[in-house]
Amino acid sequence: MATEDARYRQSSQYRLWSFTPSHLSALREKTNTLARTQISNRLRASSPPVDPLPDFLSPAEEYSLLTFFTVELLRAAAFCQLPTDIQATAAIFLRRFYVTNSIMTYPPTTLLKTCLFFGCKAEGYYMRLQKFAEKFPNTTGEEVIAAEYVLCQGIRFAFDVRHPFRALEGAVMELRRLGDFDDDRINKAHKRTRDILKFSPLVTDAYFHYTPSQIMLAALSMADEGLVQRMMREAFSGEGESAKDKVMGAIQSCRAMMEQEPPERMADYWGTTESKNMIKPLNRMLRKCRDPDRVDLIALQKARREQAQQKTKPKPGLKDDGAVLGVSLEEERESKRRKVASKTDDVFGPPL
Amino acid sequence: MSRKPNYSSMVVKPSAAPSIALPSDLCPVCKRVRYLNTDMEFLINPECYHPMCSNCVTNIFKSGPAQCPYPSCNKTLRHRGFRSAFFGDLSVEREVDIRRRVQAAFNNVEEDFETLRDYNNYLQDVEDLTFDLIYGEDAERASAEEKLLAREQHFKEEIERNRRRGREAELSRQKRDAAEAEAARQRRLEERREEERARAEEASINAEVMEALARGDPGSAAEIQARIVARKRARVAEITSAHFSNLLHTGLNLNDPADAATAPSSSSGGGGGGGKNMLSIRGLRAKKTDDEDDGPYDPFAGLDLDPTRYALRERYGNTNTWLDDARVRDDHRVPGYSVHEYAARAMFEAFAGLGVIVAEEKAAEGRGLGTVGARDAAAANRTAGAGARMDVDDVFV
Repeated sequence: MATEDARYRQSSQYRLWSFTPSHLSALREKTNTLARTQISNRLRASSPPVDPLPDFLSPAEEYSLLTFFTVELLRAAAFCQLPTDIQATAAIFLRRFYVTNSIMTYPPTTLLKTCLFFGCKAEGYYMRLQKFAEKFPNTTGEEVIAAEYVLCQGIRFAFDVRHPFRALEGAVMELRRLGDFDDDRINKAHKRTRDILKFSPLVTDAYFHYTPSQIMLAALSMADEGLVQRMMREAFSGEGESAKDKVMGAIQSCRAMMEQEPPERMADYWGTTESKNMIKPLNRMLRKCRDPDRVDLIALQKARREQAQQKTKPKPGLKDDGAVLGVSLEEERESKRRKVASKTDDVFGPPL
Repeated sequence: MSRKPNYSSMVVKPSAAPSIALPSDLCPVCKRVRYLNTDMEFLINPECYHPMCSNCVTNIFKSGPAQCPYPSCNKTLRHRGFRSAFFGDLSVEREVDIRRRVQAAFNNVEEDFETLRDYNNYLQDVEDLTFDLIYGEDAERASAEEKLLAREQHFKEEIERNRRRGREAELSRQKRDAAEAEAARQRRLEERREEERARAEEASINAEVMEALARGDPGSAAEIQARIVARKRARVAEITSAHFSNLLHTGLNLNDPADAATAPSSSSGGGGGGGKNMLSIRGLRAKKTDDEDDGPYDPFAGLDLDPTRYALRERYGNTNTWLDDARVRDDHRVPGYSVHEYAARAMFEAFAGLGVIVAEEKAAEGRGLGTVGARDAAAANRTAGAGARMDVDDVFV
């Protein structure tokens, strides 16, 4: 086995965030049904019960909304002039988060900003919260970071996203070294591939189903098939024809996935009336069926904090022996219990 | 070093062992007396243990090997072999030398054996051999000598290994002793300090009671006093109990290294040499060789970092201009930017995971965990704060 693959298998992207298409769709369906039952329970329990329950989004509708909000995120990132890596990281955070959380549960417009801000953090790109919040209308810094911890949990603390951008640079270096193609052709393919990588894999599920190098080669084959053939011949000279064909199959299917969202669609489709007409009814539906508890994330966070503080406050009551002796036995026991309990819990949470 | 003359123990051994006390006044070879040469010193050679004065040694053996000047002794001695004796009784000197040599050859320790009985048998055999060497008849001595030689020659490696291990054990023992002594010292200091603290606490009781009374704390005077005294007692008890638990702890530690594994392992270890003229050592444990075969420590735990799908070049020519800049311009090079590192990483990422087909490798996981994962995710989304979920401070539970 190639050591490159062994090293990639150790990444959190492979371990936690790679799924087969059927697994991913099963996860999304499950998330959708759970959100549905939960929100309907909640609506029924509210003080004037919402009697005719609103129509809930289907998984497919949720998915198209997710794509829409991913495009929105990319647009916002471009507006903030963030580097490509951070745009991509933020977009992937958003998509990962909504695998196990429903759009109906957490408002995507807020999570989008949180993802962008947290993407900057994850990539080591410092940005002041205030400055960041000022760039968006009707946004406070509090709102941006309200859902930050939930986001971290949702992406299972996998902050390292492997992107195909540097891989593309490596591939171009290798192509130049081979010297079979003239520079113009390589440069043209390079530019085109970069454009594709900045958009297509981020608004599709390519990151869940393919590795960065496969995504990169798929994009390159969209730009110039011949270059990919040459590179694959060179790379798999030692591994045999069957292995190469298998990888080519993966690249082809990845390409098919990405060709549904070529970078031109950013301007030609998203942002035009066509997409707006498609999204508008969905948005209207979403407004009706979202979780009433989680509309205002700031208030929710505040309430939760207060509750947590009250819980730790010692109750004024009868003084026991411990209080007389200067040590609160109860407190000590509590802190010990917390210490022990935190050791046994897996910080990365239960398996997906 | 007192070299007391001991005429009473001048017993001549029946065998070749020339047991004599070291002479004090008169050189038995040249008959010189100490009265005339006050710095006279007697030397022996472990070949035959015949004492003679240093003058004789120089005179006779300076020019090369020669026969022992004692009549009836036909050993050839060399100048280099002479030394001063440690013991006044030369038979003791000889015995100590022999024992030292035997110990060097038979240096197994109890841990090497499967059972205590095996170890004791081994000790008995070695002692028999030593006795033969020291007090045995000619024939016995010769056969013992043969065994010893065979052992020294055939088991060189094992002997060397045992020796090294013994030295290491000795070193670690010394270290442990030093650490223990230091710990004991610290303990004593701590004890004294705590004692003083406890005494100070006791002494301040009265002052505090007075203070509390002056402050006008609630309760009667007797109550206040009782409360303060109780608190102080508790503090004192705490101090001393902390000290006791400390003691208890170290006591346990001291016992710890002593209980070496004596339980017999079921595998039968290979015995020692089986030849006629060899002392057979039975019940040796099978050697653990893993510490020798381990090789150097590998920080990547066996992960091979050499690429298989590409060869990393030293240079990637005319790739793009800014890379050339980074290679040439000083303001890029000085902060430590390495173009080679960049190339290595870019090349690695271009080919890493190329052969990982997620759809195949994650297929099993998709079947097994799909429902479980979704259920857990559902638990995370539940509005009511059920205690069954992961204990994190999610503000939206």
